[in-house]
Amino acid sequence: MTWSIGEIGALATKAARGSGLDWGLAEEAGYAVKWLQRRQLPGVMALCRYLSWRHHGNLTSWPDETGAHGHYCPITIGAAYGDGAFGDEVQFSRIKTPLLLIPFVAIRITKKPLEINIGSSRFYLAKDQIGYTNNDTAILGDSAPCQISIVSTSMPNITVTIVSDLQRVPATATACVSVLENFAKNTYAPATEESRLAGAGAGLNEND
Amino acid sequence: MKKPDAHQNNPAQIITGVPAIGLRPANQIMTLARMGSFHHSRLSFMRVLLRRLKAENWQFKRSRWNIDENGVGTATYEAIGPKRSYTLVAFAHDLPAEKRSDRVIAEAWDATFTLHDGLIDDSDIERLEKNVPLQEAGRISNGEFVLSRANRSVRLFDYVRDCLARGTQPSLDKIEPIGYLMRTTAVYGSGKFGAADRDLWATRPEFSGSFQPELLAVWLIRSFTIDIVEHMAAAKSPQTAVSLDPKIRRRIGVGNSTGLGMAPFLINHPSLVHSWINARETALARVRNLPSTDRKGLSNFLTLIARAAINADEWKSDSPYQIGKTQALRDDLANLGAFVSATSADAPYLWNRIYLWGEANLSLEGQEQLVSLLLEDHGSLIDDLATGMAADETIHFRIDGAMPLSRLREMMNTIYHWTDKIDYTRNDALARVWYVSEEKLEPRLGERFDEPIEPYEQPLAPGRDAVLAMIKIDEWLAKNENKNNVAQFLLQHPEHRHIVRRAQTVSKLEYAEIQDNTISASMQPIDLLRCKLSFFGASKFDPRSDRWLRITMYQGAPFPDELACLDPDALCYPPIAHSDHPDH
Repeated sequence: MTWSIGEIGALATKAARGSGLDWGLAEEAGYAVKWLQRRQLPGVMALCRYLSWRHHGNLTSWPDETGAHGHYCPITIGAAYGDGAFGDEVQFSRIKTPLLLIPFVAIRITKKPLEINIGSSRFYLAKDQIGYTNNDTAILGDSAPCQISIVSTSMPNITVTIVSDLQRVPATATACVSVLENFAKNTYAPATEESRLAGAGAGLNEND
Repeated sequence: MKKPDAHQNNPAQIITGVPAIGLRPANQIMTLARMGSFHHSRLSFMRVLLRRLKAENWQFKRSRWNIDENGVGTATYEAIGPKRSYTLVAFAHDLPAEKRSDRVIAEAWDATFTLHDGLIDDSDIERLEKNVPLQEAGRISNGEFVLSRANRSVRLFDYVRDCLARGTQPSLDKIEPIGYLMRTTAVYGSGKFGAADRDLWATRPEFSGSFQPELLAVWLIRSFTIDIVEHMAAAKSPQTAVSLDPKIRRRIGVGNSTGLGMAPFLINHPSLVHSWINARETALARVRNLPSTDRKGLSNFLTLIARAAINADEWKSDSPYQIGKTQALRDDLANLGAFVSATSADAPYLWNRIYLWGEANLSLEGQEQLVSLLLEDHGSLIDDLATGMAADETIHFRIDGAMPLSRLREMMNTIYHWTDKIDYTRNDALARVWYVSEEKLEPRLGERFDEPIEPYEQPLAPGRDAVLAMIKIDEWLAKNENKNNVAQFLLQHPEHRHIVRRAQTVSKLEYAEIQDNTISASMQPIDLLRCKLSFFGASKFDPRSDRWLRITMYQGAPFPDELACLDPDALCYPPIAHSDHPDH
């Protein structure tokens, strides 16, 4: 069983909202997961891990000046980075599930490529290009300090994934999709007898 | 009704020959009452589809018909175009009467369908047979674009079958008010339930515009509904059964039963809605700017009014809301006919004169019918607009964080000026909650102050959310003079992110925002449904409550075997006399 990118994006949005993110940020979660999956990167896995952690995790908000070792939300920070709240070059002490940050860095690419150092992993982003060295999925799905900087010379000679709009989300995501579906359920109102009838406007003969 | 401000439609200017007629302003168009009065037009998506199929000489073939005497089995219909082909796969079922329901909560149907990309082989049919009959509980693949299902009309299906079995033709008087043998109760596309993402087919020319794969599927489903009723008639009485007379057959469309699942669409897709309404308004402005017409043009227009009047007469509904509107439309069309009859074809800017008369004298239902009629005979002037009735929504997704917050605030003041007349501290202004039901994962509408549903509220009240954001922005600007940009505000106030994104989007698009309170006690959800369905090309809107309605699609349109010799645009209103059908 595979999924279309569209239905996974919609599920990611609902799951993020069901996990407590505001609607506008939940939409950003949908964007991030679609961006990653279109490039064959495990966006569904990343959101699944982040939302599962977020439930009980030590989340902090920007700027964290408490020194209390909290983690930044990759969607909140990512969306703000995409908005330009921090400028192009910035360093974050601890981002949870930093793979989810990458789609937002991609928003800021104009003329010069950007480089993201996440722990020991290094990503490069240019228009329609993404490359990486030491793609450490363990770190990308866990927590790491992140530094974003402008690549001042030409794009390094690294593996480039061709962007395709025709990707599917593979069957390997099945378990994570189930987790997202569980979070999404938090956005659905339990039915009552009254709502079964009134909510959809039934009551007249529906069958002719 | 409050008249629009004295804008560019100054008759004095017209008479002196200055055709400065612009588009109707959004504050006139984007109210629920007016949007809920829209009628199909030649820019409606069904019409666009059939024009293209005809122009490109598409060929059609029923390639499989493996249906038994109980009406159970599989059929396939091929649509073969200049570059690509598509196949409608139909699964016919034997549905006990007690299980037949229009509602989305049903779990079994008389027939289920999918639109497959290309010609299909038996292994794919086998795969689909395990999934398509299950609808939402099944999965389709990248090779399918549409998933749908339909139920027989209790009012008409058996009657038509029995007439045909006896060797007689069914009465048009019975057919016209209903207009279909089967109703689709859902037509899913764009990646739903595993179907291909829109990106896969969006650049194919045959699907440019909106909802073209879905409406191709529905048009082919219409053929299936005829084939199955003729098949059942023959099974009942092989010696006497006859086929439907083509003229009667043409008056049978496909029904559709639509509920609240469709309602949030118009709120959730502002740039797409803008593209639809902007095309329609641009088309109207082009016609109004025509400096002259001739007697033939005027005579054709009078005929069209008469045909629209027949359609209005045949438009039956039990809904008090629609009964009043339809009666007003009948009166409007009579008055319009009288006015146009008394008008000289030599009058300058005749179409604009007629439009302005309509704006001053007709109900909203009548005014919007007039708009559709004015477009009808001007294909060469307006049909090109159909290609613009789509939107790349991703280009509006990104928030402009560098925008000064004070600039956003000014913009919101302009966009949401209409909220000034709404008091959001009153319960009646906040009475409703849009939510999604756990049971069927469908949008629903509940009562905020009577049901425990507020925690599940969907963001479908832009007016209220804009007012809340503007209050917060004002507080922020008073306290944070040195942090005056959108990015900094949103980092601290993510709860307003969705409405800021929306405000920036709709600020660039005249017709993107509905200028009404979508959660008020008096809001009519069917207005949202009607607007969308009119763009599809539906007719005979029949509200069954304030939240769901039935419609007819493709009534009067040619069938695949007629497309080459009939003009679909000439058939969209009923003929003057059914016995004198215009076989163009």
